[in-house]
Amino acid sequence: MNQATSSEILMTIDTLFQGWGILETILVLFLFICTGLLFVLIVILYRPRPTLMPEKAQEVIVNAEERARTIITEATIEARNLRSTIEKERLKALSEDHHAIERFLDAYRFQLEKNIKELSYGVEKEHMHATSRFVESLQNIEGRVSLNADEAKHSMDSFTSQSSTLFERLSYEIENVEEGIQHLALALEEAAENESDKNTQIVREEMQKIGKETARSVVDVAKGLDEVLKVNIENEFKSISKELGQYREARMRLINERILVLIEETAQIALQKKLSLEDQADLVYRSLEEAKQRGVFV
Amino acid sequence: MLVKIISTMLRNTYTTDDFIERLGLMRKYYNKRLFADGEDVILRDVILEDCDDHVLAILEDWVATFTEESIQPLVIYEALDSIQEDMMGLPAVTLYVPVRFRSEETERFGVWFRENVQPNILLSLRIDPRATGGCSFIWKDVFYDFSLKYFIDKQREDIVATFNKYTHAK
Repeated sequence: MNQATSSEILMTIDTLFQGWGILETILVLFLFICTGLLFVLIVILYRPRPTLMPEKAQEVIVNAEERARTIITEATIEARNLRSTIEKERLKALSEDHHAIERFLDAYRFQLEKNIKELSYGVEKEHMHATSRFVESLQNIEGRVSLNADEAKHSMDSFTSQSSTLFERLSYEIENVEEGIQHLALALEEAAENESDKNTQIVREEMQKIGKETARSVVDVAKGLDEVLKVNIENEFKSISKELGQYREARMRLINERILVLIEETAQIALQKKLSLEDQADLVYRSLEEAKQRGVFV
Repeated sequence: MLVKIISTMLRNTYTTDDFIERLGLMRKYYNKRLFADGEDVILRDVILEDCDDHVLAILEDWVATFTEESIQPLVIYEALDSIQEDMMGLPAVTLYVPVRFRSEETERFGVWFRENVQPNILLSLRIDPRATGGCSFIWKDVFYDFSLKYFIDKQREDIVATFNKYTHAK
């Protein structure tokens, strides 16, 4: 039966391809095989798929949710631990930074205080130096004034001594005159007793002569006294005037040298106590404008 | 980003002392926000005990600006240390004044320096009674004295002449 069928098929094929060459036959067979493969492929693609049952789907979802929850929990714990570690490290670093800053600030404060102390010491020293120079200058001036006073006293002593000599001379002259007058009186008494009137004229002339000499002597002494007095007073006046001028000049020079410091210190005291905050701020702006105009900030 | 943050902070901060203080307050706030209480934390509640209303308003302005510019809190928090380091590189002047001024006046000094010297300058304010009658300052490592002493020296001849006019009068 099968042999008969096969023979029939072959005969059919032979009949179908009667008159065709080998190439055409192979081509037709190739097309036939391709069509078969295409058919198989279409069947595979469009075959009915197994459907998921609702209960099964629910179970899969629950399992997936549980797994997701587990993963999230683990991730959260991990993240928390990580964050905690980072925060600890950060806090530690911050603490170290704070310590470092504190150390730096301590060192800076120490250096600053040292500089301020050195500056204060320098200012104090300079102030002491200037003050001691000022005091020394005043002491020198006082010394010179004292010396001048001594010289003036010496001059006065000298003047007094010279005056005393003159007064002694005057006293001596007066004593001489008194003695001469006494002698004359005695002579007159003798003359009255022993001589006649002819001698009276001689005695009178003698008395006039003695009187004139005495007057001239007194006038000379008085003139000398006046001259000495005049010269000494003039010299003293000149000396004292000169010294007073020098003293005044020295005082003014010192005041001129110190005047700016005095004004500055006085103004500082006054400005600290009397100026309002607004005034102080205005002065700051004035200073800043001055600095700007001078090109400090260029 | 760092430049934006520093620019915002410099906008209303004029002295190094204020800058460091405000950085510390910001660090406290973001520390609490990022690692403790979360986004619901309010700036006022965190730092009110540590500052006055004026400073609080300034910091609220900073936070609002950061939010507007979409700068994340974590970015700001991590930038704070760098900002403090970078601050040392900003131009600075040490200003000596004779008395302690109110913070408003101090800010006006800062405004003067930013308008007349450099737009991002910071002041280090110090009190020194020797600056009476003006001020003195250190700029580019050089000390300048514009106190009363400077103005007296400037008018030296006139002052001496005036003094002599009275003291030498006959």
